[in-house]
Amino acid sequence: MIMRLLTDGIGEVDLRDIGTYRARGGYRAVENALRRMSPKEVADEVSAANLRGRGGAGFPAGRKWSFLPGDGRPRYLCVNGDESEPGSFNNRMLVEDNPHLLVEGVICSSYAIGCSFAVIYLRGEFYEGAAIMGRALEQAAEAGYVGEHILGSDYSLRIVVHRGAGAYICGEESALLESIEGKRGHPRVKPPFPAVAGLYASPTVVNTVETLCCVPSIVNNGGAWFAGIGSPKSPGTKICSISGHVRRPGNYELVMGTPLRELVEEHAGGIRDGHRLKMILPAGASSAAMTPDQLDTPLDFDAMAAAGSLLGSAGLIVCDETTCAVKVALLGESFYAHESCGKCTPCREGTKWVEKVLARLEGGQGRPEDVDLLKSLVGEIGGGKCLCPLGDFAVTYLGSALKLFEDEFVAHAHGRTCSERLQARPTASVATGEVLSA
Amino acid sequence: MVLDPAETKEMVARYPERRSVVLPLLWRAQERIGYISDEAIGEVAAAAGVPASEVSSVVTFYTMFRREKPPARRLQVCRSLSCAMAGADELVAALREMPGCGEKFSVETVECLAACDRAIAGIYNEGLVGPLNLAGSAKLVRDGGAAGAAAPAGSSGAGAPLEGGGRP
Repeated sequence: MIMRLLTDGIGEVDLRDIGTYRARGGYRAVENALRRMSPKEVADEVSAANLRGRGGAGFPAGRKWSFLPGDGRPRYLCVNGDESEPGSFNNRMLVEDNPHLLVEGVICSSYAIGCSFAVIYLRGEFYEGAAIMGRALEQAAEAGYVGEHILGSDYSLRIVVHRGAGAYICGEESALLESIEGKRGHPRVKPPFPAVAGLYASPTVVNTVETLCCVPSIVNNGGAWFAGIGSPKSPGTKICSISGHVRRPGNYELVMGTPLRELVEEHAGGIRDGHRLKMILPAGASSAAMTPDQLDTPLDFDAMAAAGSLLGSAGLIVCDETTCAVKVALLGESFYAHESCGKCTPCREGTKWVEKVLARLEGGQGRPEDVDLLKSLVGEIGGGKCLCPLGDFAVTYLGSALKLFEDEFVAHAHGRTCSERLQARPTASVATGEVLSA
Repeated sequence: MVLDPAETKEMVARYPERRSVVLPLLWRAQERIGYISDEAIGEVAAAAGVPASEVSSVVTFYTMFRREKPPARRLQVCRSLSCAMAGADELVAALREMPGCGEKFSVETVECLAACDRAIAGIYNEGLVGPLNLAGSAKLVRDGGAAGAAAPAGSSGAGAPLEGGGRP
């Protein structure tokens, strides 16, 4: 079921304008929090809401906040807007089309954790998003919501937009902190976790854009209200990004627990004409494939995990029967081979080996032993052998595809390819000679 | 001098610790001269209080920083899953066959741009474009300017019902 908690007004009015945003009740949460609630009360409402992190892991935000030690060191809030998982584009929409909601969420959350300096980290490719967010912060400062003595209170907060520069790994929270500190985006050894030693070795909360965008409505309506929406253990809404072979790709904000089938068949309009569903990668390139018999799975953290996959950041890639499972594995692996930061050996070396094996399979030069080789590589690279989850992500889809579509891998290993099937896809890019020669 | 000293000072002051200014200043340098020169690395290092070798290692880690001046027209085409499924490989191959590729304009591939609903997505110079087709993108790299030729990105809410959070 659609419920527009975070996307209300998007596509209808210009929410980038603070006047429009306020006219629709915007910044009421900041007023409610700073004028009527203590920081602890705000944090308690977020805990009561059972707001689970929308970045993928689903860890409760209130609990994450509660880990901060009270030892007098400054505390920081870092917003993870490095959205880079292939298939996911919901944070970009929030940043570009509802920037004040994020600013408001950052203010309320910073107030709750006692932080006076927050960083909104946006991936470098969000040129427009960074400009929009910068303007939103200027408007918010002019209106007195950001800066010294917000709304006449004792509370002060500075917020900066910090741009990445092209690195998937910076979506990993400790790599993101390194990047804010002006370093290469290498994940840190954990523990210590960011709550204890994060930005500048101080207690730090890292939450993703969509998570923080949920906070204003929790402040306004109470944690119990939020906890009552959707699945009891995964309350609230989730903006699902859906793309691939569906009629209406896009972002759809759904109540948690909405069946996968409703998203695919109703909202996204079903599979393109004349074709049928083969598989869905529900959390982008790093998730185990799901098959048509799993369409009744509820879209929430626990149900998707129980179904053997992941809700993640809900970047669903839908593939019809023309899609080659080996080709998808190759595309995903090339991505991980490119994006591996190079710190841990299994990931740095392994992703390139897997890519090489998949490339020869895909190209029709497969060897009979390649399927077993891939299976062993899945075990050698995955299973928590690296400092961050990229190594695991790099083989999650492959591991699932080797089980679900082993016949395709075997066929490729014996020199047969599916490329002719892929040619059947409808590419809009039909060559016209005059364009090329002009 | 690549950076403006007054602006640099103001940017350093935004952060609790100086070294955080490395990425923002590298971006500023690239905006001003189109790439990251040795001189820029030296200036960033001095402003951030870190060795130039460290700034250099940061530049090479992040794919969006360039060490050479790019052609006036750069098209980067997403090659990740949804865009590949929509024919990104063929589009890139066709564009690279065009005369002038590599000199007057460049066609590169990039990883997922978080715009899968607009597959094939791309970045033309510094703006998101998509969905790209061959005719539109060929015009873009050949004539430049009118990004409209390749379907402009604009507000992501514009493509109803694509990104409107599921309006009927």
